[in-house]
Amino acid sequence: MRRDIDVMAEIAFIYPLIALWVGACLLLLLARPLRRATRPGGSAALAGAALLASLAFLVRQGNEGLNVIAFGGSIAGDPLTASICTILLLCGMMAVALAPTYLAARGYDNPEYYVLLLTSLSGAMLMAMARDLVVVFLGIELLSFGLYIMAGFVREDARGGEASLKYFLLGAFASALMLYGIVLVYGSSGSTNIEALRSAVIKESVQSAMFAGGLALVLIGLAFKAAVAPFHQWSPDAYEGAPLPVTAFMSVVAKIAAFAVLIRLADSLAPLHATWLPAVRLLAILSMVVGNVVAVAQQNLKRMLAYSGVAHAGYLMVAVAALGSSHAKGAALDTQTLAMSGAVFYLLAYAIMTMGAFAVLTYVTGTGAECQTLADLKGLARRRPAAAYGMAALMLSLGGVPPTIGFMGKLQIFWAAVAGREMGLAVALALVSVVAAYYYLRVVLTMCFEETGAEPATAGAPRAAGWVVAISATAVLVLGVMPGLLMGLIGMVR
Amino acid sequence: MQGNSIGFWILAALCIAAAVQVVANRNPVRSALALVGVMCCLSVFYFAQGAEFVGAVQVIVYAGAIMVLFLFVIMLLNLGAPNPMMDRVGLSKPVALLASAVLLGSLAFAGALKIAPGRAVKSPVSGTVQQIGYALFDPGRPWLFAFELTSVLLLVGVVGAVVLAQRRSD
Repeated sequence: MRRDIDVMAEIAFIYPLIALWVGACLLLLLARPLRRATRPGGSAALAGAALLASLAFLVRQGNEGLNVIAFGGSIAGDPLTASICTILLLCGMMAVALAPTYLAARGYDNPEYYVLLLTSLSGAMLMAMARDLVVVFLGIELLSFGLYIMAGFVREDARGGEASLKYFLLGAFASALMLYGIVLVYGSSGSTNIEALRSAVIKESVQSAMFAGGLALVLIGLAFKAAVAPFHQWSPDAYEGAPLPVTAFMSVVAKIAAFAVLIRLADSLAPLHATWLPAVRLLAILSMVVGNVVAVAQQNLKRMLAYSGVAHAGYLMVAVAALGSSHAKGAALDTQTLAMSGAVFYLLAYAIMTMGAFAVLTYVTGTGAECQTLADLKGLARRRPAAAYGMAALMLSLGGVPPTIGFMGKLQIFWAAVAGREMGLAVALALVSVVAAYYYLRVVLTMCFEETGAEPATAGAPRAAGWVVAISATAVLVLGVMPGLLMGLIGMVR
Repeated sequence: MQGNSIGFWILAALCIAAAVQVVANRNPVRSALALVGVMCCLSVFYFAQGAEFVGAVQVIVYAGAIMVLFLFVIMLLNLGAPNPMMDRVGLSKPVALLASAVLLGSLAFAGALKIAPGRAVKSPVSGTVQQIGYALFDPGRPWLFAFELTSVLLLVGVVGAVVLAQRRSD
């Protein structure tokens, strides 16, 4: 009898996931009436309802969900999981809001899009919940399958197909590397459970080269998904070719999920950091430098945001390195908390800023041709002042200018790096931020001071995307001034 | 040297030779057939480890169903004749060679130092269907959840295939 009750409690823990899956199944079952509906947006509304239900389940779990270990230890809840899942669900809602007008204008506002979005998101949430490398892998695949297909969703667009295929081939390669890594880890330690690996590492029973090699391959697989240099080559092409709402979704969700696992590994496999840390440091430096320097040369905003994503992944790697470093040096617990909450705060900041920037592009695109080059933004301050001001706030935030959330996030990571004695990384972070300011400010200047002959636009702006712009731009400023508002979400990370 | 260890080395050499053929052969059909060889060798390894079920599945599913599908696709796309897919050499070939040499070298190094295989995984007594069933479907063990997850993954795969293949909606 007790066994049955346990199983029910375990299933209750994954209600947020089940809500997404039920939503996906409903969308499939109702696909026909939804397609025939005269007004677009029915599928998006249903997907939004599933996301809301999922969030409601997550909130209702509250503190009970923070120390559940379910399904033989393959998934579990803790504050990191809860905050990452909340961020992911918010991103999902914004991504759903961006899609209908854009897709309907191209004749692709199909229920299947939202099915893929919901399942993809459930994969990302699984990665945050996972305590077993097998579940991490399944989560990555669930996340990626949806993204591969969504990238090629508008099939008339040849570049979308190219993006989809490139992302699929490179992604499959990275998945294979990661799977090989998991096999090596299992072969040398006899377990794929992160907790079991942790105790094995602490007992120093698996300090073999095979184990380290396996972990290195896992790191490479995650770095690929998070678009960390030098494993970022897919991202500019995939971002550029994919439809704008998909780019928004993929840039944010894949990165958050991959970093959720990276943070967990850095936190759990702490004693191994003697071999792990140099690699993480190298990835951090490379990402920050490559991302920021190459972004300067981009004329296409999607590519620019892709490289900016690489750079932001680099900042996040600094936080991961700081977390690992504070473990390795046996620093006080609050140093580790600082690194961990800094990373989660930055993930949220990145999600809002990037989602918002893509929302502006989607908003300006409306039902017309995609707005994606710097030239398309010329004179935006005159054509669509509200969107331009929103974009300006988001760009300043991405560049880390106070008083925005991007600045607060960078500051937290900087502090964490200093506290974790990662001085080199802290200095590098500060230096590359100067380069970063240049290309973000260039966008603002183009919008405000360069004119085109284009007339002020009047119609065709999607209202939902406008709301996403408004909310994200407001959040960027408000949370930049009062980051304390987030401490309910972030402060409990440990 | 024991008998089954000699068998292992012969099979391992065969398996690697077939795997090299998969990559090196210019004819896609031959590559696919070489992959069948790799699968069969793997399945013998599974049998030798006492995992009969996995070995049989390896032959039935991979060497049988999936490879036939591969061959269908190759023939459907008319890729049977040697094609110029390996003509773009440039810098990538030396880099790839270097990378594989490094990987091979480090694996050999690990082998020479007796680092690999490290902590040997306790091999199952025998890989019967019953044991695999217990392992997969016991709610107290971690594999039930992973197993159920793959069903969602398969659903997404089906939806994705339909999405990419269907005609544009009106």
